[in-house]
Amino acid sequence: MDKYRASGPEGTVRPIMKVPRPLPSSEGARPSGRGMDQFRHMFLKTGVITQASGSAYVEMERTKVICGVYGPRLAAQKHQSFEKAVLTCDYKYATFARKGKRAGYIPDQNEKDVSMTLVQALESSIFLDKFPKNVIELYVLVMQDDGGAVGAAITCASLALASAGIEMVDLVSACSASQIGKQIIVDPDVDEERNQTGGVTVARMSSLGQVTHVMQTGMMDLRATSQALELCVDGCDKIYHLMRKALIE
Amino acid sequence: HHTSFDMEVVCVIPGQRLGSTTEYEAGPGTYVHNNFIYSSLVGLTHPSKPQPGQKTILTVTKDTEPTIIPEIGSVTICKVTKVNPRFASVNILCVGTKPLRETFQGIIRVQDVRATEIDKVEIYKSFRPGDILRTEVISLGDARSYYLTTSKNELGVIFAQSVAGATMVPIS
Repeated sequence: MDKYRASGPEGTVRPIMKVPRPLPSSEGARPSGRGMDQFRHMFLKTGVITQASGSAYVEMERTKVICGVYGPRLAAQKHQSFEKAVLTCDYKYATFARKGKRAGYIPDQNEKDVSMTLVQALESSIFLDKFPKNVIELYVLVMQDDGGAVGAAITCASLALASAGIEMVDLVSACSASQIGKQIIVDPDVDEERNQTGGVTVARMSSLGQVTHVMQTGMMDLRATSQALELCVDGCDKIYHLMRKALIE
Repeated sequence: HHTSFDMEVVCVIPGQRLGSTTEYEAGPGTYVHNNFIYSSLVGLTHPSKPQPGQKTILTVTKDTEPTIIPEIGSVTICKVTKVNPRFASVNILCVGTKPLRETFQGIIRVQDVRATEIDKVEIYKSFRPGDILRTEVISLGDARSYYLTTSKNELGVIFAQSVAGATMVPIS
């Protein structure tokens, strides 16, 4: 616990029912000028942290995420498993990453939840049983969060694992979609995420066509959810091609 | 999309489909799923035909050093860190001829030092901290370290320095 700073109450939750605020533009187009199903330009690069076993950097316009992979290396007693390697993740927002809100140095509950999400999304894509007694450690730092940081983190971590040469079933790409009013928009930026009534994040192994993780927040009806999931699956496939290009070079 | 991999070296990524099990065999760096062979690494494919009658074996190798960890039966090079009457603690430096990125811990128990007269073994007379040994992994061991043995002819101390710093010569 951070003893020297006065922090607010730990667990505050926003009410589920929200009056959807209409998007600023009158035609219903997105303020950034993007189309409803248009993704932001993505930049991916591997090998950015030389001392790590593997690393990657993902940038989606103003969302910037960097990931370092360490391992497989011998696990400490309590984390060990004799049958397979253990995948751990440390997801952290840089203190300057979010607009208006300064993140602390100690991972808070949200960051710990995202760490677990990353582990769930990536576990099934690695051949963990090839490295018993070992641990594979992921360190993800979000340098700037302009929406879609979790999806970018999953993509980044998967690229880093591949660049580390750890045997994997497939690359995992991830993206998200939000529902604002009656519109479904893909790859929301932070303002759109804040205004959403519901959202979906999907992590998928495109070559095998398998989804590894789905997270849905807020309130969405069935039609909107299935539409958002389909848009995300298409998006994941597109991101997969970019990841492939980044690795082959 | 499907590419023919006969005698062609191509750069592939994990999850990329390489061929079907009816035409090819899966080698290291690949895995089989639903009768198809997929790559599990980022690297180059190496098709190899061991014998004319057999199927081509597809292997994927990384251009960087492969990740290796000690496995049962692998010969390793270690450096002694600590000795006590029951076992010697070592840092595993290399597996086979490949150096490890990060060292693993191992122990050589008193009964695994040599094959004969194991109840009369004195660890202090066999190993000293700083000695370099060639050992073989016998088991994954306990939570902290792998269990190693030096009880074969080709295993044991390969390099040691005396208290004065001179290189010692093996007598057995």
